[in-house]
Amino acid sequence: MGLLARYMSGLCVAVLGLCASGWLMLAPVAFGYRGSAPHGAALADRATGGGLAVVSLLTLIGWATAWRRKLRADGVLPRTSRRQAWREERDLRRRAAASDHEGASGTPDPAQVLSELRALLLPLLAESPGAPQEPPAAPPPPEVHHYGGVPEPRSELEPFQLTPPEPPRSGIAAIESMLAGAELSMAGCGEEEAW
Amino acid sequence: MNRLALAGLAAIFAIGGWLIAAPFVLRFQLRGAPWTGAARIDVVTGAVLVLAGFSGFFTALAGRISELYAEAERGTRNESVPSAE
Repeated sequence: MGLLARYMSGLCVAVLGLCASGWLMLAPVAFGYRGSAPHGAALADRATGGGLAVVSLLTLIGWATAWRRKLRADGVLPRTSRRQAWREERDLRRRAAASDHEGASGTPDPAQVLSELRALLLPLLAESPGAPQEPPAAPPPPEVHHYGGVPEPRSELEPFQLTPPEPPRSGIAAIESMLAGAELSMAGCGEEEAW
Repeated sequence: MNRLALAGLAAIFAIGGWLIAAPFVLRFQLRGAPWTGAARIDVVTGAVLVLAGFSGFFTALAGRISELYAEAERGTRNESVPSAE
């Protein structure tokens, strides 16, 4: 009740002020004291009426805005006005359209590029005559030192195997390793961009 | 915004006061002379505006103060609930 009386009294006084301003503007004409009364009366009434109209209008707007805010804060009115909701919806639509456009004209998917590249290269490798048909023979087992049954000293290091370096890959294995390397580098670039 | 609205009510009160005083200040109502129509209209309109502005201003102020009291009471209740737990 107190809240309602507060805003209603403000609005009512502002409306009364507007009515009084109109009355003051019209009174010199209505009562005919424009000519008969001293010059100051009509001028004072008109000037005061004009000022009162401006003040009353501002007061009316102020109370209406304050009441509206209060109703919004209390949840009686929706939080966002229709205009604001329409603006937010329009911004969302614009952002979605912009992201779609960027997705269409931006960088292609690296995984898709790699798979396409692989599909292109595989028939070429299958047709090449120098491609090895079988993997090379496994190297002989490395020699292990046993010192003729005598236990080796504890301080000596464990016998190690000397493995020969892998022969250079050729054909499809080389292409596969290159593709894997490219995939790794692309993933690394993506992580750096994400950082 | 509340302050602007309250200031508007105070301005309406002041304009009413000006309307009551205007016939005497501007000397289109002389002392002892019979009242002219313009002076009567000004004084009556001014009195209405003064009354309305006064009552509106203090009603709005009283509403604001009661609102502040209610907020303070709510705040003390919220503070006392966690301390009781």
